[in-house]
Amino acid sequence: MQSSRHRMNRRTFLKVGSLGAVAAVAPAIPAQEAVPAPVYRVFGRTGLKVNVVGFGSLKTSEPAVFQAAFDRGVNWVDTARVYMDGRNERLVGEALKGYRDKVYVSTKVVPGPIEEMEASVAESLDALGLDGVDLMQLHHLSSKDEVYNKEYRAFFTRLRKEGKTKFVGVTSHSNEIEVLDAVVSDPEKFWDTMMIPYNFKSPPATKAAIERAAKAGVGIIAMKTQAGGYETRELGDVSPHQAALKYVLRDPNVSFAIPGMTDLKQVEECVAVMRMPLTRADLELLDRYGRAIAPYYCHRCGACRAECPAAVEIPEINRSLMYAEGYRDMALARSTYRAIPVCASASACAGCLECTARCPNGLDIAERMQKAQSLFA
Amino acid sequence: MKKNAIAILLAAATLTAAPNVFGQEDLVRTLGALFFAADWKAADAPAVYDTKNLFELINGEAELYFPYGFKRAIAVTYASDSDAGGKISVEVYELGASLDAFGIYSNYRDERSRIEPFGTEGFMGTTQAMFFQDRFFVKMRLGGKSAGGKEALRSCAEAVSRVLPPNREMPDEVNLLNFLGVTPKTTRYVAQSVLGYDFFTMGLTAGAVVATKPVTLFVVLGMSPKDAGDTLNRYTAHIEQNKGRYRWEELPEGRTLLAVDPLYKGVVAATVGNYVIGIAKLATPKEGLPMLAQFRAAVAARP
Repeated sequence: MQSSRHRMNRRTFLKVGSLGAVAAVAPAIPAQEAVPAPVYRVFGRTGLKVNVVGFGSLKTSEPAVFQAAFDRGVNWVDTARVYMDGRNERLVGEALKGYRDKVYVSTKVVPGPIEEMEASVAESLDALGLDGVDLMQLHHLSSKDEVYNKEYRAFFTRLRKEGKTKFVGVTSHSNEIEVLDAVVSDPEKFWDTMMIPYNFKSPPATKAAIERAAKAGVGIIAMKTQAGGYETRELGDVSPHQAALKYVLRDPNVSFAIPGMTDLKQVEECVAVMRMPLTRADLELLDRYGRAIAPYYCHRCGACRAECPAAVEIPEINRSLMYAEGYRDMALARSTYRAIPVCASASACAGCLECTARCPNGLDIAERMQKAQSLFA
Repeated sequence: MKKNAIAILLAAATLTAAPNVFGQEDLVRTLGALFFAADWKAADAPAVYDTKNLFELINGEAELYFPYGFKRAIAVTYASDSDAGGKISVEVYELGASLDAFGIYSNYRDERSRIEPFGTEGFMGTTQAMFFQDRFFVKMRLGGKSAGGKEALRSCAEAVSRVLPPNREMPDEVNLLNFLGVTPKTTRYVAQSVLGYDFFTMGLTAGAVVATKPVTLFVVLGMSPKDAGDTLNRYTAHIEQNKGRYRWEELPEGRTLLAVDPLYKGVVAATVGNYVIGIAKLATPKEGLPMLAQFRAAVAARP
């Protein structure tokens, strides 16, 4: 990976050097000491050596952002045919130009009729510009039966024989423990890997299932590591995101995580985590984070709406506030708020002497509506 | 034959009378009863998804929709009585505003897409159709084997379009990138981190060609001229911090930034009113100046 960074500097040197108009010859990334040396783990029985920080591609719309991560040692990128209906795979394919020998690639196919799955894989490889990927995953399983489905297994066996994938895995977003246990207890050990939601909010049962899987040689990719990815003003300038990622990577049974990285700042934040230990301060931060988001975290159950005589769109207003206070994205907050009809906005609260709407999760609705008026008026 | 003729007449009558309904219950009910072609009808009651369960509809992709003000999605599958294999799945997403709907739509459209006259803008392939209209984005897929499936898909798209709010205006912001030289069908709205920079909070990008090489045009949407100026200053600070280079030039059309960006090579940029406009991925910044002048004039000419 050291050589990779050297390569990057040379590449960037050439790039910058060719731009005579500004007459600049300079390295293109932050000082090298800012990029920690990569940390690798063995990816279960695949035997692949993978950086603990991988790249979840869904939210990234610029190939340059992927390449910035690859230049910083990230050597796994995960995409899916369903992301942007294939456009995401094309972006990844573009980003991989010149990097394919340094970066492992995984994508996914949704279970369905075999001919449709076949077409989906063909489209994936075409979009990625590859003859084969390193890992093809059967997407979004939620039951043991799907794990043992013979047709899917025959299909994936064929993909392997045809060189369209080196390894095969599954992903799950619901009932994931049953799915993972089925992968683990499979006497054929058919599936090599599993991608599973895992973060500091996960119950102990998830952690235990991951441990069983790792012992059985199943490679574990952790997704949804940020548990929502809120930012909180209450935490000052400290971001809980690194702590959340560190929390997941502290578990040695996780092969690697695939945080989504929208921009360069997030790439740098994630990459910086590689050699950081999870500290007591991180745990306290995560605890504070959980508590900090509680007062404004609207579950959007809508129970308050029924109690408001002015039919104020309380959940939508809370969402606007969440964008402003949580994500610190005032533009998004304003655009969300603007979409609410005036008669259902927080200004409609002016007609009431007392707020009668109650939140079953303890949000102070009157305070929230006042806050919205002061922020968005 | 007679049955089909009656069905067609009924369909025509329904289509003519189709109201624009977009209250939640109304739209769900209308989509459930939508009649767009003989023998096609909803196979099940429409399902409604919100932020909590959107993953059940588009697992793994839901996060993409949230920055675009996602409110809810309605999914319904139509099946053909006469053709056992034919089905059309329709997903209607309600986003924050029409610009958001365009943003999601533009994630799917590409230069090869064949534009169709349904919705504000839409396209259709062999087995799928997508369009946006007002704050709604619609995704449709033809499944199974159906002789007249493609025509049914088109009729279905037109029928869904009729029951959505009638506003078919392109969001005003999109027209910022509507000038000679911009590659058609490449304009996108990005709800966060334009060009992958967090300080370029939201804006539009499009493709163009300068000196035979593809480049990227961008507009960062600001709230005020001061906001735009601050954004550009944050960009220059980022370039400096990352060992790039930049300088300002006072041109007849205004102050202009020329930079070598570590990620995007040559960049030229300027502020126009509330916006930051620019061109990235240039071989040299100077190459972009003629097109930037054109870009500037086009943006400044807008009301």
